Amino acid sequence: MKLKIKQFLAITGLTAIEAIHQPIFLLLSATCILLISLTPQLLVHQFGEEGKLARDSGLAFHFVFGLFIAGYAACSSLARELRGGTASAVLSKPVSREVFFLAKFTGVVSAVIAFSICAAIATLLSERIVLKFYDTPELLGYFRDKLIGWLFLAVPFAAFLAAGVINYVKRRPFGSMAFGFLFVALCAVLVTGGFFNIKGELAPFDLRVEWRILPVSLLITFALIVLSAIAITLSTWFSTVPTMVICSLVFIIGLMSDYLFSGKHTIVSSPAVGAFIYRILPNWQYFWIADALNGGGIVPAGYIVDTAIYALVYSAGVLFLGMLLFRHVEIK
Amino acid sequence: MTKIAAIALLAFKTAVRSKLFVSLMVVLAITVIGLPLTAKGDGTLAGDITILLQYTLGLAAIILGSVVLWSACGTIAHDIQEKQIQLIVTKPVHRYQIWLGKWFGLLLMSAILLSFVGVTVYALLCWRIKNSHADDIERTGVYSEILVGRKSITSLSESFDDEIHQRMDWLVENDRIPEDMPYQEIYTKTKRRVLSEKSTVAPGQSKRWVFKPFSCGDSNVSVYLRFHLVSAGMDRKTVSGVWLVGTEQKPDIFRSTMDKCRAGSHSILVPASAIPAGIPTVVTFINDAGEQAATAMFDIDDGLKLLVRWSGFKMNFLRAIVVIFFYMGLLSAFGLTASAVFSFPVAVFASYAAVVMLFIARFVVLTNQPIHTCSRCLELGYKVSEVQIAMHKVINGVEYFISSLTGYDPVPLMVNGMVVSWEFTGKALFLLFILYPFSLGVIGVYLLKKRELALPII
Amino acid sequence: MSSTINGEPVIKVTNLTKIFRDFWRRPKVCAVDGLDLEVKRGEIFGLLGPNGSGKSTTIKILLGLLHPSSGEVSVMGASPCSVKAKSNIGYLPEESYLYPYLTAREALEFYGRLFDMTGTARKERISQLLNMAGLTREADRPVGEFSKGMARRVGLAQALINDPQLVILDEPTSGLDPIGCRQVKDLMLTLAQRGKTILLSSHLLADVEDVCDRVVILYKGRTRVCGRINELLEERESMRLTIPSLSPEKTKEVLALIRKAINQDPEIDRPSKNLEQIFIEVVKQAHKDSEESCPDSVAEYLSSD
Repeated sequence: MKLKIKQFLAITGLTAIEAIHQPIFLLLSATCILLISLTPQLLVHQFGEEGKLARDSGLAFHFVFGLFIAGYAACSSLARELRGGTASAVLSKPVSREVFFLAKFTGVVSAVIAFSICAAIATLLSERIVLKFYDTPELLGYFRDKLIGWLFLAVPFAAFLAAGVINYVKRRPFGSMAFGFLFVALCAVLVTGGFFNIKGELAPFDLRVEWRILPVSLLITFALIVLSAIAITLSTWFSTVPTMVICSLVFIIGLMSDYLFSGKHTIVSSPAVGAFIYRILPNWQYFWIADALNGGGIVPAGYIVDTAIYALVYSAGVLFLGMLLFRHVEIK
Repeated sequence: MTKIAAIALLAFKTAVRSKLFVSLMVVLAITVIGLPLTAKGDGTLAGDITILLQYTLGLAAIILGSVVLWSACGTIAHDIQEKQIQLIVTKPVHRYQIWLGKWFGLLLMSAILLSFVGVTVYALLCWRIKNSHADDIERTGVYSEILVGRKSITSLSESFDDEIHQRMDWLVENDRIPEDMPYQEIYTKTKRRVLSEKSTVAPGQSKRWVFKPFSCGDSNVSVYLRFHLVSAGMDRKTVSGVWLVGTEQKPDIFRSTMDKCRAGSHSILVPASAIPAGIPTVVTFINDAGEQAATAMFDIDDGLKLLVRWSGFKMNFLRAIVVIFFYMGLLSAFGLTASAVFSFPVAVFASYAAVVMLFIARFVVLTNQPIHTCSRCLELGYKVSEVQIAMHKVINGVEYFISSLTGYDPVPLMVNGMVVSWEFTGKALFLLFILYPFSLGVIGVYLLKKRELALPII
Repeated sequence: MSSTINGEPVIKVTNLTKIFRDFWRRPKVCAVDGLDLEVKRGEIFGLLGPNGSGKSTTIKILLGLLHPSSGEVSVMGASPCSVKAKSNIGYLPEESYLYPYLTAREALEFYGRLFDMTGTARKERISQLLNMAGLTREADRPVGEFSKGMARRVGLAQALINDPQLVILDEPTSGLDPIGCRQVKDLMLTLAQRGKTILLSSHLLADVEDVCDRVVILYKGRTRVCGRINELLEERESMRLTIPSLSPEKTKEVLALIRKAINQDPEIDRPSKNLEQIFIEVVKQAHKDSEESCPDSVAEYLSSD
């Protein structure tokens, strides 16, 4: 058992590092952070709730870019290894297929979580710096947090620059270094923001971010984990392109699941079939609840627990199927 | 040519045997057949036909386009990654033959898939019309408004420059211009104001539009007069009046009464006999007078048009499919060139990002205001800096470039029953299928030539 | 060994250097360092060296797949990037790099189309090559399903489809069974007899020894030894005399005579077959017993002038 855990951890770590090493992972993460940091700069004051648009955009970027990262990382870590022969080198050692498959999944999930943490911090920052109306004893009028806004905007560039310097001096790999710096720079901006008020003046330490965004980011991360499970299961049988096509279909149909397979609009003539498809497909609407934050609302803890259980059960089911399929896959 | 054909056939065979072709066919079949079943129209035949054309064909084209771009990004990049290209470039094959061969292979795949989409949408269209419970009037409406290729003739534009200058003089002389407001802004605002005043017809008054001579071809052909009314502020009154169509000498060859018309786009059927041959057509609107009458305001951006039947739907549809095919050619060329430089995932990212940027840039350049250097502005002390002019020229260039790329979408034309003309198709052929792919090809081939194809790829 | 070597150089490399650089254009690895090389028409030339000695890099530069950092390279009297010169070159890379979805026949058909060849000539050659590679029965199976050795045979066939004047083979026998190895060696000798030039890179020294006229041994991108193989292998201090088996008495007599002549004890042993020869004999016999048709050792068009 101890050996299995060791093997599991080794493969997980390797998969996560491999995923993060890929240039596309850095490109997608950096673009996502850049877009989230640009949104509050481009938004002018909106009627209605302030910060909503910045928050919703940040969460939407997190979801969409995360889907690509999860899908691609899953495909490249399993489908490519199975066809490229690297999987056979590992499986020729005393490693069971189940351990290999689950470790690959956990590795992909680790990379997805790393990305999600960055996206979540970025969304918190984005909401903080957007143009808002203040009516407090200290502040009155419209303010955009310019100092933190500029620092935030500089994050991807600073990360690339730092990684470039390290790559030049120490010859360390650029991709993973840049991603590491992206995370460090985001944390640094978040903490720095704690020392300044919205006008850019030094003030007693307070992070001044809307922590209630985090549960929504967490739910999006759950969705990305479910998608990783689906993608990795599909990767056991299909190569990258068909896997990505099917994943996109599952995503689109899953989004319309409520409309297509339940209620009065259902397109399926038999209610039983409709209910069956409805249960089989992941319902992404459970995970997208950015609207719950409107008007100062919060996501109830019970909902998070329920959704976590849904994601866990769903992923476990899909992975179980994946393991069954993987048992019969011939490896080059 | 044999070499190019061999490489093209190879690219096509790989797409078919790697199940890409089959999975794409399934996705397209779901979209083309499944979407019209799920999307519910407004219950009318016209609504159903619009959904089929706009959403089904539009979405199928988007899916096909994105997969073609994706596959193009993989074609050369994959060969380099898997080193199969080493066996090709060590044969007597020029790099341009590799690029062209791959391009033709992708075109062959797109042509087959697009034909499948086209035939299915057309068959569904025929089936929908045949099984519709619509009455004859509704059917006639569909045939004359959607399932047709009409040409749009816009009225001759009038110049209001003198009036705009007079107003600006007045503003300056009466010291009505705030100090920090640039003259350029004043000109733009004043122009818009004059134009909107000129598009307004008060109760009891009339307005004339002149169209340059055109031929209807056949005297049985119906012509539609299309106008766009905008609601004036909060007062959403309806407008009534009379439309006259004729010539300068005889303006009322055709007369139509408009009763309680709301804001929005409207069409009036005009017999071809009312359109004079060889001389300008004059359209007049006389707004009703009286207590209930309201001011009619016509949209200044969507002016008055005469819509004339130009071709049947079948040919129109065929030309539209051909134009979509040209877009596939452009996307394939773009993806191929990206894959000549980057590894597969990076090429995919770069090309999709470029497409997204293009659409964002389209909205940005739309806000570009024209620079006006009228003599009056100069007299008043307004000067345009060289930088401003240069910037304006750059933005104009970008705007022209973007519209030459994105301005050939045939789907909105078909949905409105507008003609996808031979001229339009020819321009699309030249730009989307020859000029841009050729330019991209030159870049791609150059980069492929410069690239060391046996370097290790991480 | 080939007997048709003439003075005309087919490959000429002068002071060739290849430096691989990192993203910042700083030198990372010097794969080839001031290499001089000349391969003459009709010669079988061996490129030897341990892993990372620059053999494959040299070959890739000769084929225009990599660009030299400095130095002059001429292949068939033209630049390595010249498309025209490639009409007369055949190349087998270290791995086969075939399109997995194509069948063996389709793959050869594809590579054949890349040369100016008529349809009938191409078809005729493909059928001869498939026969030579022993793949006639497997011709319509996708290459992706092939074993490494089978894929290698298809790779070799595609390298020869244009009846090239210069054949560059990178580890041609890797993954092949002993019969395949022997066939490849016979093929090289036949081609050389027809005046074709062969550049061979291999780790299997026995293979190189069997067929090469000249060899160069590279180490870290530099030439260590270069010369005719028989001169390099020859032991000038001793010689071997092979005679029919003798009775013990006769043997003693002969030994006494030799001892008297050289004033030293001669060594005596029996020449033995090597394992390759035994393997080939056994498998050929098995082929005959099972009445299976034996593949051609060399395709007809490759062995006739």
